[in-house]
Amino acid sequence: VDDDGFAEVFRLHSREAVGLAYLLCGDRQRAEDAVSEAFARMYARWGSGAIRDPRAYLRRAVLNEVRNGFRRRFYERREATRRHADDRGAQGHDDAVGDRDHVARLLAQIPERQRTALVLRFHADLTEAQAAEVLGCPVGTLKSLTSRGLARLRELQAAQLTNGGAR
Amino acid sequence: MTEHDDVRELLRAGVATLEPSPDLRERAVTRGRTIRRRRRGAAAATALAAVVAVALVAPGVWSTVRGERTLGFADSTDVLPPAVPGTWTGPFTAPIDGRINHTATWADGRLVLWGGEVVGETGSLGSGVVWDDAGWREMARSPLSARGGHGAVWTGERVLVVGGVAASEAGEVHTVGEEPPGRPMELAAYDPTTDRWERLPDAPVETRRDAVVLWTGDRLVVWGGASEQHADLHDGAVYEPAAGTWQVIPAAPISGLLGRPTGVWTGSELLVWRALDPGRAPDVDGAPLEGAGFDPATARWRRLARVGADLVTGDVPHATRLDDGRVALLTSHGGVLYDPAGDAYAPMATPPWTQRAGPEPVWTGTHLLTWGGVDGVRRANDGFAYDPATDTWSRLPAAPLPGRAQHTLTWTGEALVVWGGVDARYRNDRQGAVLHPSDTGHELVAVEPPAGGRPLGHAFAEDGALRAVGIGGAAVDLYRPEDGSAVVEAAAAPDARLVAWRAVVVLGDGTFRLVSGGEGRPGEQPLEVDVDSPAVGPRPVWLDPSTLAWIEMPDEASARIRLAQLDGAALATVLDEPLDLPDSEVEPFLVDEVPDWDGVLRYALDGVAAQTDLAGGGADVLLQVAEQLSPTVSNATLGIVLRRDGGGRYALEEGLVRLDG
Repeated sequence: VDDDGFAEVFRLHSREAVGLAYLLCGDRQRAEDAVSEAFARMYARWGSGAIRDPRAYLRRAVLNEVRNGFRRRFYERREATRRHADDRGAQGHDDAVGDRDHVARLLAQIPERQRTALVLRFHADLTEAQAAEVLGCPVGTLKSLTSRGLARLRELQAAQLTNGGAR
Repeated sequence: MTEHDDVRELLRAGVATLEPSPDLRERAVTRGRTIRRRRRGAAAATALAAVVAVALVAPGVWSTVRGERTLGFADSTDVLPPAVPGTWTGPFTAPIDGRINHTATWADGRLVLWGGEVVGETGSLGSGVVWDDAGWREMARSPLSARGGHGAVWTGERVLVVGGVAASEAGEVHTVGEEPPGRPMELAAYDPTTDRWERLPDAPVETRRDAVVLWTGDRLVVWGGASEQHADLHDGAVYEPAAGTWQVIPAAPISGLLGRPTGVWTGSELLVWRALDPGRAPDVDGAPLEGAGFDPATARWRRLARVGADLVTGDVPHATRLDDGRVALLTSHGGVLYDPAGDAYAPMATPPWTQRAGPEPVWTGTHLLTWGGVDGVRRANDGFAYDPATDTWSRLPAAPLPGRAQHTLTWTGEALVVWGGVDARYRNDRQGAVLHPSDTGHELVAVEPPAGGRPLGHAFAEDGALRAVGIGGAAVDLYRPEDGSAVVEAAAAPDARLVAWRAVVVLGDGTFRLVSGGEGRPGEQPLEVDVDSPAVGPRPVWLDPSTLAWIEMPDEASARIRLAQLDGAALATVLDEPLDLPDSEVEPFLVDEVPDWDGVLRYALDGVAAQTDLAGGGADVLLQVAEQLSPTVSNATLGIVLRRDGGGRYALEEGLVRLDG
């Protein structure tokens, strides 16, 4: 395995992948699990030449992992056990964490497919056709999901302002 | 600044400081190496074992594997719905583009497919075909423009096509409150006898997609849906063909705002429901559905009772009026029965899925049938029948179609027609198939274990008779339901852990084997059984029903069944020759190293034979398996018999697939 090449791909895309996963699921641990599994699959295939576009591969793999939240692989449980037992300790709760929680809470109130459409369009910067393909829907539906997701997001933001801007 | 830059900034801020954990790469690499090692090790061990097997395995044991008809699998915790008899024919291919959001209307001996959209493309379709005993023919050009999300009903004389939205004109993202006004809802009639269309008057309401569209016997009812600009609509209109006039249905007193609506005509009243969006209606305490009734005689709405979240959850509701007047409401997560007379809901037996957004089900007169749909990202290719008389669910026979979603189900009066939709790779599929539930002469019956018997784990046909296997604890019961569901045989498993998974294998000579093995206690993950690493779990065993003895597989034999974990389920490959499956934990949409297998994949579920022409699409074999591993599916088994030709290339000679949930 070309570990150097894989390391470079990891360096280039891991942060974006974690961000994508986090926006989709709103849980840092779950996001990292999804990204870890996506990179593991990529690693297992690394060198076969089968992965021509690592970024697109990762995006889809991460999305699949997050959306398949029902899956609880043996590996994941093992990893969870290991993490539970390690000495990482509690995560700090600083302003940055507050920002994340704020956005995660907003997104959590938007139906999953609308949320995914928003994240794919406005975070991953996919075109409408690309996002529609990832979501498995016509472009018209993608537009509808995006439009409804935006409307919902605006509603939520307006409600927050009305309530004194509480986060 | 471009439009929605604030949203981009919000999302960016949400992850601005989110850095991957320092050990993330190490975790991924460690995990990736495990995947690679397992893959290579399994292939090497299988190759070696196959060589040994030629010399050591007793003839008559594995030679019969080729003649297997069924490889069954039962979940360790949930009782499977029993199979119901029936015969599928197909697949057939309609001579038009595959599509979604089309209509499929049964018109007195003819199947009329019209309109729709293509996944990933912007344009709609204005084409259609008609099937009848003479075959397929193209429909005359419609006076309606291309569109999707429209509705269609059969009046007894003509197909009325109403509403819908042209995708090319729809879907621009507008700021809320600045949407342009909608166009009127159009109507046309198609006569399949003469192949002629007639344009009828526009409705006095704006056009829409995904509306409730019903035929009352003399009137067309359209309610709800989403406008061209994606606004939720709560009004509708009624068209009376005899008078050629429309009547407006005022907005319903309903606030449910989540996805498409559903409704039924009771004979005197329109009943509609929408799923509630808890984010918009936080005071509903989790109630999943809101309903209302409209009486055309008085032109008044009434609110229906709220559905308790204790009765049903989920969205994507589908309402079906049963012959006894009750309404069955299926959602993505469950079902509930509504009694219009008492305005009350009653529980329905839990559907055999935990999450599934399926197509509109069909009512046969005795059973509610549903097939396919999407759960998470997977497209299911199984179906179920609900019998309201007994409040039980049964499993439909396996269909000769890959899984799909956004397809249509059409009841002809005798058979279920599945057509169109989008498959696991998000490709439009123009194939379909037909289920004839009564062809076997069997009623659609639920098989129940006898009193005191173990929960039913698997049912299958054997020599035309139905047999069932009950599994529970550390023992297995064999039932013959035709004998009154008496427990005819029973056997204790040698190891309670063995019931963590099991597969029923029906051999060509009519006998069957219950293959069992696994790690962990019943009801507990994982299902990892890797015979290449015997330490992982107990060795697989076979239950010989003639002697009720458990036979431990010899190494040489067990090595030829490779059991591995596939997305939380078990994957068993029965190999005549070693095969390097690219990854036993293959990702449904990332299969890219599977050989392009040719040939026919023959399989049989519950004694019903079916086949799929692989046509060089070897990867799809795994996709078809993976796509079915829905949240409801905890176990899956794939059996493949391969033949290697002189050039060293593997060809699929026989395949067996069984997935249960």
